[in-house]
Amino acid sequence: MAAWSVDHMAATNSEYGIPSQGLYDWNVEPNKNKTQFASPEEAAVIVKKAALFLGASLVGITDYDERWVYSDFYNPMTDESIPADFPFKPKSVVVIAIEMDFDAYRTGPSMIAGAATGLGYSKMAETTNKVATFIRQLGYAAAPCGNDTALSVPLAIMAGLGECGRNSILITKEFGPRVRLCKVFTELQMKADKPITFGVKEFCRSCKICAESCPSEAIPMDDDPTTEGHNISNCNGIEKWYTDAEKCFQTWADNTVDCCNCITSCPYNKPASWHHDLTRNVANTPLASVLSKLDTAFGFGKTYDEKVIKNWWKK
Amino acid sequence: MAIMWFFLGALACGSVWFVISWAGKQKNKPSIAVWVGIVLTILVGLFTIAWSWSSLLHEETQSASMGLIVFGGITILLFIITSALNKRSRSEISGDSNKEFQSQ
Repeated sequence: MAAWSVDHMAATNSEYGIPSQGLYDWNVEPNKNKTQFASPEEAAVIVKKAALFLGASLVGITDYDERWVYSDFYNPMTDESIPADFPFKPKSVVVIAIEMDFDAYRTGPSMIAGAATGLGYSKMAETTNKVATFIRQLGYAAAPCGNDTALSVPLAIMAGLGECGRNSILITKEFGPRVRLCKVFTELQMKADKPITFGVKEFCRSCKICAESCPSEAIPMDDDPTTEGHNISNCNGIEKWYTDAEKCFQTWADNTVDCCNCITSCPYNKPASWHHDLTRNVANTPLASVLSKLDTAFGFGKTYDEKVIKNWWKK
Repeated sequence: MAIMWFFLGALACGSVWFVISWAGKQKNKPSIAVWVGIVLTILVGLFTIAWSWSSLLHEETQSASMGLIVFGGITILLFIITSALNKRSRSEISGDSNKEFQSQ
């Protein structure tokens, strides 16, 4: 509850995808004095630096692409569908990744890991509000968003924050899948970053550790990605490994706590250290299939570890 | 972590000094294969210590143990191969010297 408090008090139910409320309010007028930048590159540099200063762990910029924007905004609390309608014409999207605590996620699946998730949501609301305020003070309209409005994972991939993994979520170089994503749509035109690749797709082809650790078997064990999802909760057409989101969410409901096994067990989920950076680089070679076996042998990615949960409080 | 790198730096310097003084005392220079073996043994040995130490600092005890087994094992293997190569090249050289002596 403590970790979720900012999200609950100032961005209520944002995790369910309700747009433009609380800290995510879109209806704030920008400064009448518009700052003129020398170029979109300059604008991008300044906004990205501000975002990192204001709390983003990672930041990237991509052009507005309506393929990733929801056709309707659905409010699950009122069971209403609202047509997607920005109050301005968005040109760029500032995509932000918020790191979640590594030690807390090692306890997963647990309430401690759930608290790390909640802390992520609270930081999402706070950081996007600050970044949107910064852009508005520059004289440009901005719409801060959490889970709502658009698909965060493809936006993050386009913004160069990482690649899509077998568990259908973003895998970053720095933190693996252990991030929460949020974004700010703006009418300020900025130079877009390019997507990156560092061997995740090839690694995930042989790894399958997340699929093996998934308690609901929602993550596919197929070697190759596909363009067909499981059900209405998937957006078909993109070549990727599709998670059965309904099975996944059912497990959360059954366990009364968020599951994070796929994040905890992922070999890319490591703390910052030279030896993990080295193995991440080796993962981008033909040794990838050996590395995933060694990751387990070396004791990484354990879930349901009671000792880790007890020790967390003493650390 | 800074102490680890300091210690490894000192160990690397000490190893190089030891190898150079050992090579200087040999009647015949070690072959290129032996030199390669010595360098690889030292590098993998240092890597073993660095990996295990870093793992322990991050409370990754199983990784530290496996590092000692896997990388330490490779270090020992390289040491054995290098020693065997060195013995072989020395016995080849002393065999050639005996033949020369006998022919005289």
